Amino acid sequence: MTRLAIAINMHRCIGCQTCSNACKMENNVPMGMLWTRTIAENCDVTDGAVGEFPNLTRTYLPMACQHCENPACQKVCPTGATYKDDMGRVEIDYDKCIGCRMCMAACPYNVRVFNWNDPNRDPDFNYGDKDVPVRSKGVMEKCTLCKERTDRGEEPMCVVCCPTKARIYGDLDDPNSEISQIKRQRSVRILLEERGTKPQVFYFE
Amino acid sequence: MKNGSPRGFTRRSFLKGAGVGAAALGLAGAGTMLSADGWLSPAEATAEPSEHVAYLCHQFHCLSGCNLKCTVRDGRIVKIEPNDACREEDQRICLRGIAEVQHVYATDRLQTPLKRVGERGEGRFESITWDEAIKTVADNLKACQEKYGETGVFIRKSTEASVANGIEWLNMLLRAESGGNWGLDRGSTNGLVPGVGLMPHLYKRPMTEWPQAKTILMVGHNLCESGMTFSKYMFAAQEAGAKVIVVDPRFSVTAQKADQWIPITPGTDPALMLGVVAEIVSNGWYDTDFMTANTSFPFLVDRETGKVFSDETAPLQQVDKKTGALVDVKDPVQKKVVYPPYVYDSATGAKALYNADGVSPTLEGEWTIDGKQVVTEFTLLKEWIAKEGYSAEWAAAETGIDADVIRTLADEYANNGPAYIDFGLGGPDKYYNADVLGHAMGIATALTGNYGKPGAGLGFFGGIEPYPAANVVPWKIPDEFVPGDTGVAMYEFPDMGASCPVHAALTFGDCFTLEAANANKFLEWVKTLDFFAICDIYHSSVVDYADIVLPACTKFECDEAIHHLRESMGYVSLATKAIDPLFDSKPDLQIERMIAAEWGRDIYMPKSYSEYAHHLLDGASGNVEGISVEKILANQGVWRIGGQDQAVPPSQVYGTPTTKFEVYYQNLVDQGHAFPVYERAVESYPDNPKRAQYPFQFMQGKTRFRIHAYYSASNWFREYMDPSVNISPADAKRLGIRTNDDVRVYNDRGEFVARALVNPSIMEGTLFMAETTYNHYYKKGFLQNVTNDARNQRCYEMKHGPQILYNDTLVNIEKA
Ligand code: SF4
Ligand code: SF4
Repeated sequence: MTRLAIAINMHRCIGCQTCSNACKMENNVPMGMLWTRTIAENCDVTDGAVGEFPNLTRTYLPMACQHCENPACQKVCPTGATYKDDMGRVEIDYDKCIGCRMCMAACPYNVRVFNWNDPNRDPDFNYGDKDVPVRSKGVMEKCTLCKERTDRGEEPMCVVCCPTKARIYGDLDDPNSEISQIKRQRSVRILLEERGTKPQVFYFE
Repeated sequence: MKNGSPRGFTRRSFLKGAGVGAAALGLAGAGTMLSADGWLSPAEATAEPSEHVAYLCHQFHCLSGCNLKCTVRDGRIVKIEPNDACREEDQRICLRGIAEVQHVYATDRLQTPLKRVGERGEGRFESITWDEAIKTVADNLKACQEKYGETGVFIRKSTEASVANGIEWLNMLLRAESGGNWGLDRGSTNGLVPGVGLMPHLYKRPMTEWPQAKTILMVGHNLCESGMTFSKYMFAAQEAGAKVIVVDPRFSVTAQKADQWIPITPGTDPALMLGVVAEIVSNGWYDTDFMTANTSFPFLVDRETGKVFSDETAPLQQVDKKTGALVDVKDPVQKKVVYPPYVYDSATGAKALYNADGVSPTLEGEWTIDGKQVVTEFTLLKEWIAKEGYSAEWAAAETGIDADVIRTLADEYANNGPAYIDFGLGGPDKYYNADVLGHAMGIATALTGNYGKPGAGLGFFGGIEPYPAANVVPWKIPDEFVPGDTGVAMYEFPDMGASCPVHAALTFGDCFTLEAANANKFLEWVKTLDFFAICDIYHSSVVDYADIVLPACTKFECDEAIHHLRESMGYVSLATKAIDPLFDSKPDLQIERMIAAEWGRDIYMPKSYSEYAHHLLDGASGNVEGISVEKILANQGVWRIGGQDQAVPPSQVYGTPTTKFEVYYQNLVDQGHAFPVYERAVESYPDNPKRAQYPFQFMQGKTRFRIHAYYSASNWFREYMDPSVNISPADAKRLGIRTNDDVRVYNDRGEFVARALVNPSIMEGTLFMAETTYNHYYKKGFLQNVTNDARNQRCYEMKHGPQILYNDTLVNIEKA
């Protein structure tokens, strides 16, 4: 089997938002929506900090679909639009999506974005990969792990563009892959592990 | 409709652009012209989208010069990614490269030539033809030349990552004044030039050696934001065991990533480094072998005059690398001949030339020689530290840093080497005392020997690497064409009154608000010009003051298949056209040719980018042997320059007259700065009475969302960032300011209104704002209205002259 995933080196992540913009470009993501966002954890302003000067910490957390082994979104989807594919990715069949937004409410990571209106693109044409399907009003979308790229054997765009090489992409079912080794050897952080969603995406120091 | 429909051209927005050709542009009113909506060139309505790929080297004012690959579908830029023909190590990109997908089409694009119809600054224009625009520019510049001479005309390409593809033709061809010293990014450098030679911020060894260091001290450098694509070397160093220590008043990204963050009272960095120097000396943590062999510490100084005791019978000479002949050495600042210094030779017990065969210089001592009382520079240094009272405790009182932290810092820097000092070009560089900081960092380095070897160094790191220059065939213009030079810096113009040499200006990009402080005053001067034209891509802050506006296209657009050839970061890069120029804009080469033609001087310029590329590459040799236009195009527009893979050998040859690391600056004896003497910031010093009215220290710095003001118009970035001022929670609470409130920031010089961000990363009593954003995105004013335009007179004795003191600024803040 194949379980594709991304591991994020939290020390190397500089919160630059390159991944977010690379993803937006590659996947034709409209204005006001992002499939991956880099937040400063527990901060309410960009590049804020936690604590009192000078005893401060800041943790950047790039947040996108965690491609869970046990996806909460899939369980609640009434039409089967959200599915786990044979590469271990959580995907959406846009044709089956009826826009009920049950998945959005169920996702503990709040990484799904919904086309409440006709998508507003700036520039006002379809940018990104020509194989990425266009989504319309009433449809849910989120990180596909760059399905069209990874199907072609390429790395996800966020991984290609990350200037610090903080993002490691690979197959967790291949014990020799870099990502598997990191998972075994490093101190790993899984987001909201207690929810039992079993994210494939993980963070490490 | 099927939700997952394949891409087609059915969308309303596509139709909006159809049918609008350049011919219609001249009829548009200025109001609509400032919006790009509906102006996009129509796509071919074919069923199968057609794609092609173009290559270009992106920006150079971010110091990254990434080689990028750009996918174009049906005439529109749709994807930008690293150029995979570069070595993997060199495949770089950041969010700004990616966001060009939108930014190229942004509403702020200047679309047609414009002529001012309102008052200067009002921003009322009407569109005119290129012919009329060029003629108006030429007529006015010629009138100015006739009246005031050629240097009455000012021509400059700005620091904005813009139209300037690296070459400035017109200031040469029209022999125009181009504004002398920049006043930017050379504050510490000023204080280092006499120490190690010209361009000391450009260290001669690569950043790939960082992992060999044990200690890396970063002074006011936010590498992880200002030099994102090079921060990987800092991480590699940490992963190899180096300790990274960051000195910054703000909890920057780099401070967050450091092993130790040392918050410092803004503008007191020279005191910290003097404290470090004092601790190294008083604890004996210096390297006497290095100092004796490679520095000027053993040189003798005449106590009475303070001048270096030298053999004045014959000037110091060096072999000229080009001719092989012996020539007099000149000092890098004053360009005066230099006489060889004496040392005290311990073998003979007498004076000897510092470079005499077999000489054994003495590091410390005082003697009477030739009737003069002479003393070594190292002995003088010790006396000077004692006299000034420098110590960790002294520095602690000034900087707000614990004395133990300073002592430990000195210990680690001196004793846990190899070590680097990496200084930022912003932050502490933009205070009155930046040269003192540079000189002090130099002395710390000369004491410890952390220079000229792998894993050690002093300079600015993060983009400017010691890449070899390619052996291409340079484009030559006749010697008679050199820029005029009245010796005046642009930032001085407004203070010169009637003696200002400049009466008409043509700038490419915004020079006047990006390369000067106190914008209200500067723009008042701009209003007095006989004529001002700007060539720019976007409606930048100064456009509204121009009489004529010439729209340039971005680096992605060109009117010929191949575009600009340049060297970048170890590669020769030949850009190819991604798309045609949008609207009625033109490539800057063509704009410059049109203007030069009015003087009949376009004949000295390449007719096209293609001619330029062929000229440089046909006949190229040496480290780019075998290169040609065809071959570089076949290799995705990039060609790695040869000779980069050998390790750089260690070197102790400095760019100073003596080739030693010189620590004592005798040309500053009269000013009392032969050694760095601490002085405070000129405005933001602690007990400035002005603080009663303006209690906040105002700082600006780089953000990942800009290169200077470039990308102000990016709608993708506007979802993250607008003009906003960061304030500490304590100050915000006291003033009743909350995040997202509009706040007014002001001082005697001016004011602006921006959004407040209450941010614990900010030290109490300080404000921080990202540099910078076009003025029309502010509710009122813009940040340059408050910045300090004072000048440090001492710096006129230095290589780069006085610097602009952007951060040496006091303001007040209140809810708007
Ligand atoms: S591109 Fe890399 S460094 Fe930048 S925010 Fe994303 S993961 Fe972090
Ligand atoms: S703006 Fe970004 S992508 Fe462009 S050259 Fe600079 S670092 Fe590279």
